[in-house]
Amino acid sequence: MNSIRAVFADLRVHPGRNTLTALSLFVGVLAVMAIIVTGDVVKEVFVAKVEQRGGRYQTFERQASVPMTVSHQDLASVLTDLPARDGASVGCLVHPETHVDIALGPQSHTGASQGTTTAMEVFFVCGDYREIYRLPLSQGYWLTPDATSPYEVVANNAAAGYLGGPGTTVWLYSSTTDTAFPATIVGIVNDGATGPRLFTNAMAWLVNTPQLFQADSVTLVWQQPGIEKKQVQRITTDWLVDNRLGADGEAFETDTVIENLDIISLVQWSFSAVAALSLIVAALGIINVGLASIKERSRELVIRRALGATKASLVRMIIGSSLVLSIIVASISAGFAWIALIVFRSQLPHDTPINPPAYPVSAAIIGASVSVATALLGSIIPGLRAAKLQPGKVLRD
Amino acid sequence: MDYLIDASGISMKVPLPGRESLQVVDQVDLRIEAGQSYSIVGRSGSGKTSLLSILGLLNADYSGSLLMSGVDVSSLTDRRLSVLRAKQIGFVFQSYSLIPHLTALDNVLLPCVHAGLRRREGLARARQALDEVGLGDRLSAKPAQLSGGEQQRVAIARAIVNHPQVVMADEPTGALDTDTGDSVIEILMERVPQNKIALIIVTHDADVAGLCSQHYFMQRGQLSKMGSLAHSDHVAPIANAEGS
Repeated sequence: MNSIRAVFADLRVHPGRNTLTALSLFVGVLAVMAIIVTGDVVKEVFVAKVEQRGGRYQTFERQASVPMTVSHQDLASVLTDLPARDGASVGCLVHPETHVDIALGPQSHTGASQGTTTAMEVFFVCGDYREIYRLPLSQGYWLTPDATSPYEVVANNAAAGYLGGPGTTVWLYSSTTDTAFPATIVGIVNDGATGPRLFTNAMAWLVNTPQLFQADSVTLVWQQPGIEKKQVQRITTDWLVDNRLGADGEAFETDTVIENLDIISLVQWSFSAVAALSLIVAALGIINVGLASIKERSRELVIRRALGATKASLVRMIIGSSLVLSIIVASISAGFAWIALIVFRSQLPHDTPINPPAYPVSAAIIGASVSVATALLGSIIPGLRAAKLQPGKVLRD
Repeated sequence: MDYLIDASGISMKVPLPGRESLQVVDQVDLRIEAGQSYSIVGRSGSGKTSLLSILGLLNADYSGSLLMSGVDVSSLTDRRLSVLRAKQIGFVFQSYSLIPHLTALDNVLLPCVHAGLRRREGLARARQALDEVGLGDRLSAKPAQLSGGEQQRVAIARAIVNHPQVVMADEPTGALDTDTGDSVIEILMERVPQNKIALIIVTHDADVAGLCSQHYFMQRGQLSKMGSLAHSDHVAPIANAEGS
């Protein structure tokens, strides 16, 4: 008990110096945590952007032509029964033969001026399309996976800027029909694209409004971590052949996450190196302060020895006070980082494609370990020096 | 009979630059009994303080035999020596040697902490010791807020707080004016019969030395007993020594 009291009393000896030491530890620990979290966030942003365009790790595409002999009903039925495999997400994109455009009013495309919008891309999707590409919703909901449901469209941010948000009715038309068909915007997604895009359920149109377009081809999208290209090639070929679709091209990987991970890792390592260097500098500074402090306090320590303090009790007092300081600092840093993370997460846009960073437990452990190690390094040598002080000096000084 | 301190053939050399060394304590024999006061006088550099540091277990670089209450201290560990210092020896230093950032009470409490006393008991003892030296109303004053005399009285309270068997004072009045020095010596002298302690005073002050019951003179590391001194007697050897 006396030792603990001595440790806390020792912390009060030089409040200014101890506060500065604590502050430098605090900044050092937070810097380590911030660097690690920043590295993770940078990686996550990069990966999210890449995955928005090319799909999650590993995504393969396989093009298949739709023969004239395959009716829309048949195609819809085929696409409802996409090949399944454990751990795989499979989606599709149906490509119309003619361009499908959008209007804000029910006019046909012939001579219509009122309500015609700028050229937009319309994606007729099915299956797990949204799960494969990172398409976070900022408003509304994603397409109902049901061919009998009312026509729904989901706009990306650029398209929503032209058309409006959920609840807005838009009209789809093409050169194959004089009629425009209504659909309701049910959600807005962040797909990372700058041009306006609409996503709609391919099956609903194939089944209910086959006159809107003639399906030209289908892109099968297969995402499954760890799968090889030749496996995707074989599975999709079997499926396409079984369903009388043209298995023309080869499967190819579209995601580029792995290709860029080396660069990301390099950036993270660079961040870590900077953190390590700054910590070494901080630790040296603290050791220096510790040694200077012992020199300054040698008179006091010698008096304590003369009055009965053992060598061990002096070492305990000096190392103990540093350790207590470092543990307090590490705890405050961890709490501060937790609050900072909550604030950071609250500031992320609603439709951010990145996963909000989790509390950096490993960074907190590293930071706390560094704090304690620095305190130990900064106090062991001074502590041993203090233990070597001769109590007889008390009579000489 | 077991003496509080029984020193025989104590010698100590200190290294000098080069290969030479200086004999600062030379074959000293000294026996300290309870209830007696001892003065050690001698010129500066005669070895008084070195001898005191050996007797006070502050210095282990000596040869010879040193028994404390019959126990050979040369065989004791640092921990045991520290406990002995905390419990059985009280020190009063010329420069007070108070810890500046501690209050008077906390300074006096230190030996109790090192002796392993419970805090409550230590605080009670420290308060009582400060009361005994007339500083019961200055418990929370820090050394810088106290006069020289008050600081030395705090040092005396610290020296007696653990009821030691021996109090060693190194020039206790050296930094004080005459009146203040007299009052400090009076406080110390009162403890000798009152608490049956042994008091060893190293001093240049012939008047202070004259108050002790036994007198020793140190010259070139050698200690010699001077017998009972009249005032005029004990001035001479110091004056001679200073002049030599």
